[in-house]
Amino acid sequence: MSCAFVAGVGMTRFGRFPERFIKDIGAEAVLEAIRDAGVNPAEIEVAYCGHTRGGSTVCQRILNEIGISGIEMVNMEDACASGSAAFRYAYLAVANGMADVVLAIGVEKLSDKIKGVIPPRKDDLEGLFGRIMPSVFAMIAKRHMYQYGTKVEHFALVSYKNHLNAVKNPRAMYRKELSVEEILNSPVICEPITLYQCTANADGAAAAVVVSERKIKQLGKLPVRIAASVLCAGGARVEDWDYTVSLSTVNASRRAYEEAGIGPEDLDVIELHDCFSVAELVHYENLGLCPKGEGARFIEEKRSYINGDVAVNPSGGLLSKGHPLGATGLGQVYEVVQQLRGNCGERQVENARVGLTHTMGGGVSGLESGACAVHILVR
Amino acid sequence: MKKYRPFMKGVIKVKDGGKVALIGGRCSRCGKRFFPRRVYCPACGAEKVNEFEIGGTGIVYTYTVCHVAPPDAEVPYAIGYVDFDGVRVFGKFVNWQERLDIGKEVELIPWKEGVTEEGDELISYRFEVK
Ligand SMILES: [Zn+2]
Repeated sequence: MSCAFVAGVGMTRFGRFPERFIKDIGAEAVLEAIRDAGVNPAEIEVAYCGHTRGGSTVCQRILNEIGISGIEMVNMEDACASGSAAFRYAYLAVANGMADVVLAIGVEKLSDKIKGVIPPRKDDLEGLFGRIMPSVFAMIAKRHMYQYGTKVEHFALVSYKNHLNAVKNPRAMYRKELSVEEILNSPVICEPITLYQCTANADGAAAAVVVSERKIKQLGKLPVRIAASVLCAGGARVEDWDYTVSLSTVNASRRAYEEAGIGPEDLDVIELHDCFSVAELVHYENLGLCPKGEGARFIEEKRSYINGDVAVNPSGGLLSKGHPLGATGLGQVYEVVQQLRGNCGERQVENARVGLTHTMGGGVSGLESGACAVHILVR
Repeated sequence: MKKYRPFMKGVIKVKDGGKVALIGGRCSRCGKRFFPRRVYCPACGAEKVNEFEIGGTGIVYTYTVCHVAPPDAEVPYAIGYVDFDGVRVFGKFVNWQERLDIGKEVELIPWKEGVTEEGDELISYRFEVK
């Protein structure tokens, strides 16, 4: 496999844009990424587009809008990891020598489709019984509290930190600082998770131009190398599995560390899948940032703050930046690339050199998760 | 005569006297057990997976009470995972108010989920908190 680099990134603001078409939202992010990379649109050889509810041939509709047609285009669905799947396939196309310039797009428009909680599938055993996404993480929270003595305040602290980070991110959906009391006193969604500990469904798009070594040299861009790319489905739960562990996150991150030749201690910045406050807390453990059961201490000691050991979700994360399902993975790539380039202004992580993105997708009865993607980016 | 039908194929058995048992899988090679049953063993890939029945009394592993729901469900409702002799099963609780907690005992009971167009009862299950 040869090296692959991110030459350009683009992202819309995440939020609710009921008056905009999905193709316009997508085109905005793609245009920014192409211009950022400095490539000619005619140089793009393949395009992958991740989305969950965009309907048929979204990639074609977006690219036709700006005058790109006739090339190989593939639309991908892997629930909330759809954008990360598109990014991985762009990486694979370049790393396998199939193309020099590949476009990855993530896009979603939910504001005209879903109000409030996403309805679970009726053909899924657990979905039928009302296993909505916040309940999955509420059950993890209950078990984590039982096994390790974690308190609701610890979960709220995660949400506090991410809202604080989002204040400094002009592309985030919610840019208001919230106190721990406000977070805990907001309406209960699934016990013990309250409203301000849940991500918000959003509209938005993000895109990345992935290129070969030859091309990145020609473009004269700061090379941000994709040092690892892993995507896997969650494993089946057999007998006495531990609900506080995301085994797909553990396995995918260990494989990614090995591929990149680094350890978790080398990471400067992480954008991880904080769909709910408790998710981020357990992913500190799953990603190996701290020992099992010590996620509460990790946030309490502010080790995941922007100026801590490793900045986790400096963008505000899904909790505050917003969660346009299929766009989320590429939104994470956008943030990490801008952090590695030193473009993040007030929320800049000092001298960030190594970054990781982590995206989870979906829920299936009997499986630990639908999908899990981990990418490591290095400058 | 009224007939009983499982609410979902391959998941539940309706027994004489209206009792129910869930259908789990036990691998003939590695011995691992899981619910629901699959064609191949998810742990080792073996093709021979034997059926075994899950039921009786279980222990609550984790749970939550949901205060929001998709439009067709009533709130609040309680859901969670229960261990039946080492096999963890997801379901909905009944008789849970102010009684439900991790470690509590529950009973697997039959539950009428609905009625088919032919008038047959669709039989599902619930966890009744003791
Ligand atoms: Zn087996």
